[in-house]
Amino acid sequence: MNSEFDELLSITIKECYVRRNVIVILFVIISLAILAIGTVWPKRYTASVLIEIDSTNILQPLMQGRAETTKSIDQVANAREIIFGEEIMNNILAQDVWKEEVVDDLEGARIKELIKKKVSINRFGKDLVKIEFVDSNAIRAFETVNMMANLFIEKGEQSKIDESQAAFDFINKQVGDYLQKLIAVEDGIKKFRSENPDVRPGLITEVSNKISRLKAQIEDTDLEIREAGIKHDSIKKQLSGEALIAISQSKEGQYLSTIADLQNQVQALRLDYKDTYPDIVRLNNQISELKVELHKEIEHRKTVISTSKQSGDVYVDESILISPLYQELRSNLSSTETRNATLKTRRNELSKMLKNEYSRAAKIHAAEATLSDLTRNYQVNQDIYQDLLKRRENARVSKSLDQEHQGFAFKIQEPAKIPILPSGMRFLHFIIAGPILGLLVSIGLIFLFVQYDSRVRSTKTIINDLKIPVLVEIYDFKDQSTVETDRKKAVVLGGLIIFTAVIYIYVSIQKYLGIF
Amino acid sequence: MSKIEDALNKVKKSSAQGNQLQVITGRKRIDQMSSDIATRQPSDTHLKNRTSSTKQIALMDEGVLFSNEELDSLNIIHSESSNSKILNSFRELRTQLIHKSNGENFVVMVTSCLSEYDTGLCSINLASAFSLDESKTSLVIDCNLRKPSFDKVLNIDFPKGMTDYFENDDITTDNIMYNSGVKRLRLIPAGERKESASEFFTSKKMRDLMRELLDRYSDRYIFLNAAPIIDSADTKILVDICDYVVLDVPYGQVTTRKIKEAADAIGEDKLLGIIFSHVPPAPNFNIPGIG
Repeated sequence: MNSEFDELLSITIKECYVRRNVIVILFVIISLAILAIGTVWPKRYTASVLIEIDSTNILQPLMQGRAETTKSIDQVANAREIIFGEEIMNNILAQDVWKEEVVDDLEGARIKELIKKKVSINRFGKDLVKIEFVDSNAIRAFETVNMMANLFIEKGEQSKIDESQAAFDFINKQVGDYLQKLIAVEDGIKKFRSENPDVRPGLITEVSNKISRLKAQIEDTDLEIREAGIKHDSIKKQLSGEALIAISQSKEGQYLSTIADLQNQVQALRLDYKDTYPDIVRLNNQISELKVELHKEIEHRKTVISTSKQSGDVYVDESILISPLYQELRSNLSSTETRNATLKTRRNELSKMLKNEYSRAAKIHAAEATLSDLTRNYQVNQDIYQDLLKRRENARVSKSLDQEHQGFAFKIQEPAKIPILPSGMRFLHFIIAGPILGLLVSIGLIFLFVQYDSRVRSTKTIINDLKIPVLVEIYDFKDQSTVETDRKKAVVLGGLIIFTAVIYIYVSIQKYLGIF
Repeated sequence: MSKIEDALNKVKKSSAQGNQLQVITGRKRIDQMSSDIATRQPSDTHLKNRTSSTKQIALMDEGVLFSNEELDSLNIIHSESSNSKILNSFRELRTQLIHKSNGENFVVMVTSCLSEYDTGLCSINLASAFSLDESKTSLVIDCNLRKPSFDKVLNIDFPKGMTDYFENDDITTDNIMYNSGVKRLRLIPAGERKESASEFFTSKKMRDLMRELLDRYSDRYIFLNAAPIIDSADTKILVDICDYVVLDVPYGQVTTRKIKEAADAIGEDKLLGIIFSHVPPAPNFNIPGIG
């Protein structure tokens, strides 16, 4: 590739030499044309101002979570909207630098559009906004951009203040509304309380405890009543005939045991004596007597029972009536009866109380539902009210921040300067570009020509493409007349170049003296 | 200028005699030449002797020779050429041709692949290069009958040439062979301009002429200046007569396609190679790395 390029380069140099006339003429034409353009090229002065729109300042970390600083999202769009607004545009046109040009409203509108076209607003980095204005007049460019920046900042800060004031007002109104609601709910609760004084929290458990206690008492009383009944019955039974029989049976027992004793004696005597022995005879007699006695007693009891059964009365043997046991039983019976009556009365009372408690519990349930409803309402309202109060304080701080020009920093990072040098293409650029471009274009054209012209200029092409040997390379003859012509041409070409240079110098001097 | 006109008139009158050299342009030497006109006789002194010694070459009647300055102004090389690069190029070419022929003398045709391109000067310079060597002589024949160029190249009007030789059986080779003004270089001009010469070149007479010229001196090298092969049937015929062909390719004027066409017309066995001519001298920028 390199050797190919070298070849191309050397051919280009050769061709440049051969076609030096063309090159010089092209060079002169192009550089003079560029010079001409340079002299008529309009000057453009650019004034710019760099504004820092910083939503995070020193106060923000201090007030974290307390105050909300107002934030703007798209700063460039925002700035554009503000600057291109009628208000600022009118202010700019009212400036001295523009005043003269605004002859009527139509012209004013046209100039406004013109100014809008010449303004460029760009964002630099995170928070920097650059406002640029291009104009043919340096002072006017400076004044305009300066005015724009100042009005923009003023307007921007005012709008932020308005915004935070509006936010504060809104929250403040909300606070008032909620306060009213809260007071209303409080009144409701107070009224309910005064109407239902015994309704208090925990009352329902108390009542239910009482109910269960009453129920237990009633059960106990029932048990005691049954106990007393059984006791009464048994005492009564003891006092009835069956008790006497028991006692008389004990008389019969006495008889029987005496008989048995006597018979034991008879048996013992019979071991030694005959039945005719006097003692035995006497004992036998005694036994028979006792047996009669026993028999009599049994008969007596039978009649007593049957008679008592017939009369329904309790037959009480006289001997028993006077016994202390009987007396005691009697008193027991009467005390048991008294107790029985007391227990029954108590049970009735307890049942009544239970009923009361039941009805009270039902009442409490209804009241408690109402109360909890009211309380819940109160709680919610109070929460919101508290929150709003906090928010209102935040908003107040935010508002103060904006009013103190602290919350939303519009800072002029780089103030506008009067542009001394025109921006963009200056005359100096044209002076420099003219000869360079002239040379580059003419040589470039030759280079392109050599590259795309298919005519053979190198022995390498013949050798490589056609495989025909090249015997020799012979330079062009230069006889005396050619040399002479070449010299004349060189003088003419040199003259042309000097002429161009002179024009360049002349025009440059004129330009810097301010004649053009 | 009146002197020149006088000279021209004189020449015209004497042209009836046929074998006298005439001068057409007004240069310093013309006066001298016109006065010396008688001395420019076709050389017939060597015709009968088929010898080839250096001594005899030295004895050749050279007529009036060009001075070095005149050769320079005519763009013809000489041993003290101011343009040594061109001189060396032709010497190099000579060496290559001699090397190729193994020392034998030969007939070389110089042609081009560009219409209207004149190889006359190139042919004469090539012949001059051979004649620089004191042991060699050269003969250059203008076979471009349609566009003769030797008189222009050398600023001399040659009264008779190839066409006369072919058309008139009375005219011998001696009548058409001239001293060129360059040492050891003879030439045969084209003669009267002819649109086509195929019948001449295909004739037996042409072959005989070639044999005669080549055989007369073993150290004579013959050069044919032919019309561009691209648009001339004559040249294609001449290819058969000559031993070698060299193709003159001027710098920056022909495409490879044209060269290819010409090379194909010549044929591989005859085409010795290409002379890449009219290369513009590189300006004196000594840029390193650029050959």
